Amino acid sequence: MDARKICILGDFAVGKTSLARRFVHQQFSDKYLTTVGVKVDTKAVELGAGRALKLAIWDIAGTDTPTELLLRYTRGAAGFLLVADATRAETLDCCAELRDAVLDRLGPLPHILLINKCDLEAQRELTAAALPSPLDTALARFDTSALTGAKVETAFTALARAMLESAP
Amino acid sequence: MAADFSPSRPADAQPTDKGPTRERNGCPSESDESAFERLKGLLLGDQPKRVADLEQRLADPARRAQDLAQVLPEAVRASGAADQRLADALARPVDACIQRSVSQDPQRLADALFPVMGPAIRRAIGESLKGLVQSINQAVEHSLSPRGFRWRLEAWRSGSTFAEVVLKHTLVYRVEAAYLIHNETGLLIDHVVAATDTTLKDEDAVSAMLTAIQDFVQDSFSAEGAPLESVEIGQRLLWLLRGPAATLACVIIGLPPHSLRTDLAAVLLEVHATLAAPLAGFRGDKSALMAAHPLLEQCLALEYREDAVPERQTTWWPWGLALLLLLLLAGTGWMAWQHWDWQQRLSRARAELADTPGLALLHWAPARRIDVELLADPLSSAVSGPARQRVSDETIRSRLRIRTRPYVSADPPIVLERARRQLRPPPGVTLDLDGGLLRVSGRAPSDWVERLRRSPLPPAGAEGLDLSALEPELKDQSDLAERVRAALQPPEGVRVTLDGTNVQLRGAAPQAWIMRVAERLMPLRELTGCTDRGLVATEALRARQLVAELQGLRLYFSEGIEPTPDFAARLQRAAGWMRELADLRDALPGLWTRIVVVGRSDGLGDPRRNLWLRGERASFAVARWRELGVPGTLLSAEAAPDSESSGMASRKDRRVEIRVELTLPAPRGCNPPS
Repeated sequence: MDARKICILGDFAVGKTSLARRFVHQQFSDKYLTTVGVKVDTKAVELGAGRALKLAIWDIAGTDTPTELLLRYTRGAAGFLLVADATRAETLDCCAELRDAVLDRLGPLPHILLINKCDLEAQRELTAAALPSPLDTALARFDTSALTGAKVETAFTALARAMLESAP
Repeated sequence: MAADFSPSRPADAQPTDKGPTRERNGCPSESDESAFERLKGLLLGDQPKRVADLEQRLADPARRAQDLAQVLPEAVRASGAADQRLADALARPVDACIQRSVSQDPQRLADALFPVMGPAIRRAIGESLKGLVQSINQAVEHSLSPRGFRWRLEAWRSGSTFAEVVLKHTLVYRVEAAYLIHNETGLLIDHVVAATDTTLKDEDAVSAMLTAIQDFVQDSFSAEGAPLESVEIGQRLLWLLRGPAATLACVIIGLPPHSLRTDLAAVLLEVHATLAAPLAGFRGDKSALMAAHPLLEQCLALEYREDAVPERQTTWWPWGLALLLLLLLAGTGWMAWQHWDWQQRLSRARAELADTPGLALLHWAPARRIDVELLADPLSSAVSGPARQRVSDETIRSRLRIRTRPYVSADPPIVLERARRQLRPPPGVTLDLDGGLLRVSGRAPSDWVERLRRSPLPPAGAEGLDLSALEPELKDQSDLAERVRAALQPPEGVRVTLDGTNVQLRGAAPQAWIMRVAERLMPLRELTGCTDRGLVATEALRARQLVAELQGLRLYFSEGIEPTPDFAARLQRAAGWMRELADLRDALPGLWTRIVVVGRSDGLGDPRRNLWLRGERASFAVARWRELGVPGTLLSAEAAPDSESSGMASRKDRRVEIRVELTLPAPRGCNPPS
């Protein structure tokens, strides 16, 4: 089975690790454990028509500014997920900054924007109308919840499909 | 070059009728132009077009570059074969190109040179390791272990150096798994596993994490070009060999030699050489890199097990060597024990001689013959036997060579023997040495005792004789007592006993008899002494009685110096005692006495009168006793210094009393017969 490396990027505590855990292990824990460096998981996704892809998911420690180590971790990625926190509007700016740095280093890559923690509707600050235009470069945007699992599988599968289709 | 010479029109063709038109008016008309063109066409065919094409190709750099590219390889090859001019010409530009390339991206050149530099570096390392191998060779060369002998034999048989064989046998390892990881993506390209317990749950995750760790290490330590090379996981080692495009990660158990890394590097090198293009374009499609699998399997073949090299034909070596060592050890032990035992026997024999009474060891030199020099008392043989016989060990005794010199020994057994020979004590007499004193005890005939006492010379080695415990035999004793009694003729009241040869006298006897005791015992020379502490002179006894009587006497006065009616009788009685006491002075020479008459008074009246009365009363009594024949020199009057009574008129206080001062002669003792 072919494999692809994808990265999950975003600000601190936006739920990157929870999303990866939900996607890979179908589990969720509300205990916050900050990621040190990077954590890698793999999962095979079925894309229909007999196609499958094994995703090596690099859950990279949250940061509000792109560092050299972060960019080194993203090297060789076939796509990436940008994760913002629906309850913190400023995390979207961080996504834009990270996206610019990664695309600048790696060239055009398929990426998807995830607005996570959408289950916290009462505290929601980010709405579709509030999204800035620079993030329109994302192939898609999903309102996800690692808690409920909403749109998590869809988002990863969409990125896998996009990577497969964008391959030369 | 092919040229188109199609003869559509002959070269020598004449001009057409329209030709003169140009010459007529000096300016060619359109018809002239076309005619000229036709003429050119007739004369030159398509040459002008071809020239134009050539000009266009020369003027167009792209076309010219294409043309040059077609002929350049052949031209370079031809020039290189002809001479060195092209190489000279290209040297400087190529040098500049390389420098520029290195300055822009050193990694690219490093990647390009990796297949070349790898073997070169390995060769250089191999050369340097030779020195290490030689030093190890020297270090273990002198090994004498059975295994060392076995390996030496193997080196001799195989033609290898001993150090190589040692290294081969001491390094036990096995490559259990090999993972080929794409550097850029961290994705696992392929992997092979030999041992099932080394199988990882998620090889892709592990490979990605290894890549992340390498990235982290390089970023943290700024160690570009010095990546993580080795990780220890329990008993296993994870070796990471990083190539330009892929990393080879090998799980190894045991102690791998450094040469294993060289072998693994060769595998990685081959992977890069074989799969350079697929590796460069790898994005996760593993199908293009299937060829890596057989190469990875080469890694698993790299193992060594010590038990895989049986050496049955040489197993007698350790046993033979052990037996030899055992025999050597036993022989050494036996010799050591023999030596120790001989030394013990020598010490024992030496002590036997040295401890023998009458012998003093001067020199002891044990060798094949044992030379001994002794000081020997003549009596030693009699006491302890011959010196040689004192040594109980027959072997040593047979090797003794003894020289003796005479001397006088003070050893107690010798001194006693000397005393026995000198004194010849009769049976019943015991000789004993107490310190330096020769004690003679027991009962012996009186003449032997007498002789010994007359000349008490101790034998050599003894400081003196103690004869206090020596007694004459009982028969002599009873005879002696009789003779003592006969000689003394003791008066009644005197008890004579014999304590051995010592006379003891007790009881009371006249002083005249006591004075003659020593004289009477003089003939009895067996006597050693006389004790008369219990003997008292009858005169002394009488004197003490008289003193007691006198001091108990009281003569009373009525008042003044008038005596009471019983005064005279008491005075008479006391006068008799006093005269007797005065006579005893003659019978007992040395007896001295003084009678002090003390006058006393009651406490009534004037003290001065009382004092006068006390003196007068004493003087009155003294005068009366003188009148009654008591020697005046014996008497003295004295007034008591103070009245005993305190204001009470008592007859008893008005008295005269007597104080007698008596000194008896010291006992003279019955001197032992000289």
